[in-house]
Amino acid sequence: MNEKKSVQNSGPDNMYRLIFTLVMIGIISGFVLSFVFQWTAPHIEQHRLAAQREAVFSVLPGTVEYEEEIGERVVFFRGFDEHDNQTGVAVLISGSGFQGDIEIMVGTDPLAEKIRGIKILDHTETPGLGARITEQQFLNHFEDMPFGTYQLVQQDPGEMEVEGISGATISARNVVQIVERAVGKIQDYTGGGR
Amino acid sequence: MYQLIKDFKQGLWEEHPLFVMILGMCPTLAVTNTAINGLAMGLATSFVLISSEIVISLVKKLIPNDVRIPSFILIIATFVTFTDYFLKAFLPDIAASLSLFVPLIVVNCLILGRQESFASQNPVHRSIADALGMGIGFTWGLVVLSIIRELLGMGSIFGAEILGTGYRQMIFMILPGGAFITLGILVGIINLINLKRSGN
Repeated sequence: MNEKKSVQNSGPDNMYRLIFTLVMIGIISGFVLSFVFQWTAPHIEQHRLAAQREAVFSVLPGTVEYEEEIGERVVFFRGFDEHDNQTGVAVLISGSGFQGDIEIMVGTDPLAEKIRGIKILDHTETPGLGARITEQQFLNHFEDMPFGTYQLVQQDPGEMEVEGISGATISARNVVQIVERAVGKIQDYTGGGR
Repeated sequence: MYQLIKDFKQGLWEEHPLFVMILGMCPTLAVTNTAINGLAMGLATSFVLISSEIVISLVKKLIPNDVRIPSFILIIATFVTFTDYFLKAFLPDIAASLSLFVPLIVVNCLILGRQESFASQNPVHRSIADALGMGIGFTWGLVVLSIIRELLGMGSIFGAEILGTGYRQMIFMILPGGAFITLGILVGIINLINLKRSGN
């Protein structure tokens, strides 16, 4: 029955009605969403900044204050402790992951040429698999790692080696590559131990 | 009133969206690796389901039959985007762990399926009852599935260690393969229960 009715109605008048309906729904939903966006955007930005701030403190232990400097497609953070001694240099860098970009904060001690710690700020890896790059167990492998290139291994990581994540080899490998790139950026920035 | 209770109860067991109708497999198989993810996904989906069933049931007479599916999708997408922003703004931890599966709620066929088969043909109060039943049904399904997988895969439930550190984790259970096997066994058990009930 329904089928027949719609065939009879498919004149130009009906065509306009169809277009009108879809346009109206589109306008209303766009309007509603622009309000939702205005309402939530400041909160989202606030969370992002808080996460960034917390990340600097966590990758450069002992830091109480930091200076920010915008570099070429990366942001550098110079951390200082309560006696105004430099605790290290961190860099906020992003690179491609398994599906989207991974954003990582890498904290280093440029004088000792060592990584102090890393933290994942943003990613779109598969929940439960690639998303496990954010777990401390994986991130701990990078602590106190000397500058250089790193190997991904399945178990028992030795010097310059990182233990991968089962089911998420690509995500883990990409993190390693981004960290290597971050180390290069830090070396360029500090001019080899400033 | 009796009709409303009947509409509500349908989604809880008889026409359970996961175990009987096998709808919405994408989120089911993908995010049920930890109980908290399963619960959050269930609640987010239920919210979208309830709000879009209300709206569609209200405007169903204004939508021409020929463009009903695109109209439903537009309305669903609006609520999904709302949920995505809302979670990012107020529950950033959950938003981070579900990440891209929140926008993917829009293609959950459970939601479109209920609009087409229920909300577009029934009055608002019945649609709300149906959406609540289906939403709760979907949520308990995801939670049961994810509790089994998290327990066997990581030895914990809702992040709390249950089986102790000595337990050798069955990593397979939190990988996609584990999802298929757990779901298959659960569907089998539920069919068996239904068979026995109807046999009596």
